[in-house]
Amino acid sequence: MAPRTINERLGWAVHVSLLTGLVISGALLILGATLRLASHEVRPEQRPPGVRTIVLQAMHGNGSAILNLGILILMLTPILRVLVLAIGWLLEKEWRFAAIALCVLALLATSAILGTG
Amino acid sequence: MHVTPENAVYLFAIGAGSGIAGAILGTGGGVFLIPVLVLVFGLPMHLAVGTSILCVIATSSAVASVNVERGTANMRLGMTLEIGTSLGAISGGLLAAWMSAPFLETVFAVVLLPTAALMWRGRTESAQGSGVPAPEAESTGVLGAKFNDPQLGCEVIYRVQRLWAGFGISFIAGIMSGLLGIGGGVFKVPALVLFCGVPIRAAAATSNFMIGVTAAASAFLYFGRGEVQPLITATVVLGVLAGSAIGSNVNRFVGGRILERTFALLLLAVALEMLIRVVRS
Repeated sequence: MAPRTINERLGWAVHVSLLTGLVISGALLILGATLRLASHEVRPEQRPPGVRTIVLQAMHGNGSAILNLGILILMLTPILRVLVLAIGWLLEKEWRFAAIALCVLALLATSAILGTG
Repeated sequence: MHVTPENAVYLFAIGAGSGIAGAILGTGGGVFLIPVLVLVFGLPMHLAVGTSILCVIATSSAVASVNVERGTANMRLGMTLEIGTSLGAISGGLLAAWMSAPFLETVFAVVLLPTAALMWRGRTESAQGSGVPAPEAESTGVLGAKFNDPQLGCEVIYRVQRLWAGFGISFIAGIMSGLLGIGGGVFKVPALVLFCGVPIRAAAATSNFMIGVTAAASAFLYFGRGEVQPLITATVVLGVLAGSAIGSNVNRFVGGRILERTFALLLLAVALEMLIRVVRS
């Protein structure tokens, strides 16, 4: 049965966004770990390259880059959930909670820029 | 640490064990995972914390996806308190960069002591004395909510009181998450029940809903500093996800006070071991 109330609709959207993030990141982590272990590559762990480099290398089948991409998507999953709620509350004209969600998004964006910028 | 296929299996098993323990005891599992990574695998404390933070995101996302659909997690309250936890987590994540590994291990061991005490008392007992539902005729207020409690067999309606206290506790839990890689639910759930009047099922679900965002707030800082080692993290995260799935299915059979007290004693022993290690080094 389709969700009817605002809370049910938002809950369903959050459920789908979290599961999507988990499935995609889980698949990338399994693929990346398999490639890295199969290659017997001894790679000194270091600071990760930029996001653009990670994506480009991952598209060429680089195991480490696929792992980093999986980790990035896992970190982005809760942020996607905040974004979904911010949009949902904006559409429902719940301005107070939409503003709170946007504040949380701004904090998370600050952390992302500090970390990967 | 070089990850061979053999020790990848061990790392997966450690992750699975933490996931099972976390699901049974209602914690994020970081309190078990970090000591094992540090004491058994010899991983530097900052890398263990970075790994644990990613595991917290994974378990929180998996559990929250179920709780929001059931309507147990209070999304409005959770989002409001996430301002406090995110601020705390960013502060903790930045502070961790300035702290030496032995100092961080000492802080972790000291935080384990009240965690063990709360676990010894049991989550329900620790949170007793409040969580009074509002009468049906009353409004839930802006932040209150209602949900169906299958154990009580009825709909529970509640109002949120003393939001400032919840905000303060959330900020402290956020600092602990950013600094030590733990979810902080063991402190946050009793506080939400005792200070804010949230029923325990809703408090646990809302706390779990929040810890993913809290962990994400500091995860980028650890990732950017190279303190999230991809292969180790991937192996442990996959283990934790598998363990959480197993734990949430078996916890109705194996949960109980004896188990909680066994783990509490284990945490106490781990805390002492970490303190001794710091003193010796």
